Amino acid sequence: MIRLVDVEKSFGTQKVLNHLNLEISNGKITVILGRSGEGKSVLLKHIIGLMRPDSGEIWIDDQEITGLKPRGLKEVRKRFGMLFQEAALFDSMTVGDNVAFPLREHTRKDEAGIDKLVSGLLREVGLEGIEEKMPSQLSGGMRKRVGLARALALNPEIVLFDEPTTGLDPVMTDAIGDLILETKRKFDITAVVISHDIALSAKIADELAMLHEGKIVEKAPPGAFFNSSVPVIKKFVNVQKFSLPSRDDELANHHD
Amino acid sequence: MFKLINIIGLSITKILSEMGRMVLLFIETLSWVFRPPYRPFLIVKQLEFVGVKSTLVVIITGLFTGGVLALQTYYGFKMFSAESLVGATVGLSMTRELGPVLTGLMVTGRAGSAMAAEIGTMRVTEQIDALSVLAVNPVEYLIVPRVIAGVIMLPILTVLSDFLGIAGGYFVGVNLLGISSGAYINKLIQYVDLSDLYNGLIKAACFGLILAFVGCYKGYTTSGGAEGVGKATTQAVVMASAMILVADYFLTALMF
Amino acid sequence: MKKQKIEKIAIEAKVGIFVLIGLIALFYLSFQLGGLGTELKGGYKLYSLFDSAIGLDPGADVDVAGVKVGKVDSINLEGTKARVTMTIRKGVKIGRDAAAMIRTHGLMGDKFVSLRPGDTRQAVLPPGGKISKTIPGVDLDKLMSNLGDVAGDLKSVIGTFQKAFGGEKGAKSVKNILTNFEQLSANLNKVVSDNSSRITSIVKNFEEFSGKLHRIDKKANVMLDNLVSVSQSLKEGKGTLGKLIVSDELYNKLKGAVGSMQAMSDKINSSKGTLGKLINDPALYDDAKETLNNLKVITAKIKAGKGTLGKLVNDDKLYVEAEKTLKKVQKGAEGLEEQTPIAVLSSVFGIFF
Repeated sequence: MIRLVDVEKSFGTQKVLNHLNLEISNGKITVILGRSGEGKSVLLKHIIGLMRPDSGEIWIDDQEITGLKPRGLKEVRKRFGMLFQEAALFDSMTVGDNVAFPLREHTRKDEAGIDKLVSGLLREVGLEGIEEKMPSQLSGGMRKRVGLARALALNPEIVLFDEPTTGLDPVMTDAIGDLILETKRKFDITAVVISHDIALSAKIADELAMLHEGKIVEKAPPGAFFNSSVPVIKKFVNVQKFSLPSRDDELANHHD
Repeated sequence: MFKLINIIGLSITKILSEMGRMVLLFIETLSWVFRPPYRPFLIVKQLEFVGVKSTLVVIITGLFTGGVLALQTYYGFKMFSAESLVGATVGLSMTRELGPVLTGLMVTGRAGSAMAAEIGTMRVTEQIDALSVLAVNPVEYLIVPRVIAGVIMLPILTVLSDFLGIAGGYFVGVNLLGISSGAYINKLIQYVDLSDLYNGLIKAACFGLILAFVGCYKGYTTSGGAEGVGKATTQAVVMASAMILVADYFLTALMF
Repeated sequence: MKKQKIEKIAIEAKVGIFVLIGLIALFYLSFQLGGLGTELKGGYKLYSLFDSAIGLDPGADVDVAGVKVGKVDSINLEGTKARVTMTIRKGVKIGRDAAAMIRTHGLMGDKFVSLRPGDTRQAVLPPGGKISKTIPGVDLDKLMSNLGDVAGDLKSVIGTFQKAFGGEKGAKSVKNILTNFEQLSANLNKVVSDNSSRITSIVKNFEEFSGKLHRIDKKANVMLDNLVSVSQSLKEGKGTLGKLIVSDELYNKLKGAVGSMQAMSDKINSSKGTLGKLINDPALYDDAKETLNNLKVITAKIKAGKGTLGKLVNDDKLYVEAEKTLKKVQKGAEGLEEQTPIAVLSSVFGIFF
């Protein structure tokens, strides 16, 4: 369980997180919605310790991470995987080396074992036999899949997805949604997804949370969330509903 | 008026905080130099990048600097009928001053800027965050090998530069201007001490540290996308060059 | 992955070759520049106290006969003098009577210490030794100021000349002097050419003379040696003359003898005693004349072998006996060898006068 207690973070005079409280349950897909520039990525970076809060506590199960020394943080991070917005593949390495990177760093496996694991991971994300390609040769969607393969390499308990569908076409968005669901099922992970995509959220979320003005204004299962009376959520959902009128059926199907 | 004071105060704070960040990063870098994990292959790769790939530019600058020195000092010394001192002048200038400084500046332009661009790109594409999330310290992984390579390779490049400068001076002085070869070599050996050569190499090692560290620092602290990377690269070259010249003064004052 | 490995090896090889080239260049330069530096490793130290070490720096060369043999290590103040410590290359010997001097390469060049190693066959300076003799170097500033003084003097001299010879009068007198001088030299020339044969012979004579002088000089040397030994003997009171000089007794006797002789001659003068009468009495003269006549007759008789004495004189047997007697006398004389210094002394004076 991930628990953020009274977390505050400011950049200069701008308060990005303002007495934020959030609980994320194990074994579920939690989608955090919010408008661009609301500090969703900042929130995610706090969870994994890339940023430290000005005040407040962040608990990963029964461990408080804000005061951890680098070595302790390193151990905590091994329980995490993260898929970055632009995948953040190391562009000086081949795809194979990218996926193998955490394995080489943190396991004592021999090269043959690593090769086997890498091709297995790439098969999981639907990209077989591209180990020798360079990241620059891949499309955006493929890069994200490789990024996910890399994030999964160390069998993490928690995987964070930072805007996994931004910049992808609707078909690819749908495919990524399937991939997240599949990954959750196969690897038995707790997933935290940052997004502003209602369609994706509706497709994958077990829990939804709304970040607005540095606070979580609502956190609920999808049915309750989409019918919330909070004005920001109403506006957010309605705008996207107009653009995608067939949403209601899907929502109904999903939550059967 | 009040606004002016405010601006001045802000810029001073900015400069001071930048200096502080630099020092802190430098200390962190140093702390990782003697701590595992050691990354011999990454160091070798950087040695190749900083050293081997700078050979051509160092050969050209060394040869022509020596040649120009011989040419210029020849006409000066001719007024005193002391043409035989051309060799000593070329030798002293190259070993004590021009060898290390010119090599430092050339390698700054070639490798320091590339380091800033490379690490800067990694920063803006979240590759550095990805390293952190994969529980690899980016300072240890990215900065330490580059700094080590700079410190090792600059003295070696400087020896080449010294040697080629003396050779270039010899060619111009003896073959083109007709100074006796014995006078060139003997005066050079008489006036240039071993300590001149070695102090020059110590300087070069310091310049290597400066250019690699400044390049890495500017890259590491890049923000603002592709434009930010361009800015970081320019700043790295300007800052490293200026620091090399300032450090050169103090090192010279200390050593000679 | 195989591809990566090959690439890895290639990069490592490149770096290896590069570092190797760099190290070769480094060793080459070090070796060339190191030159004396490494040679001095086994060297030894000497020091010297200079009145002034102005312009001399640590690291300056030390040379002997223009060959670099060491370096100046340090320059410190010791009392009021500059103590210059230097390292000398192993195997270079510096004698105890060596001298050190601070000199300058050219007019504006570096200062260096020049050593005159002295006599290295005898005592050699040990490590840490002191070169006690120092020759003050030429101080350029001093030289300049001296030069300034000289120039000033020269100026005043020239000024005087100008006064003396300035103007038409002066020029005239200079001209006169020059004409006189010309005449004089012409005369001289004439004299010389007229008397060239004579001058030649004068020179020859002089040559001979100096040759003789040279020989005399040789003799004088021997003589001086003798003189030395003679005077030595005299000092020690050897030989008669020695005793004569040293012994008081002899002097007193001699004094007494001279006194008696005086008294005797006084008596003789005053016709006292036999000899006095003999000399002063005219009657005695006639007697003596008669006696001499008689003697004449006697000697004639002897010549003719008449009488006993005649036989004595003319008989050969007697001659042989006389010879024997003489030989005995000679033997006696050899006993008197201690008297030779006197003979030597006389020979010395003989040469001088």
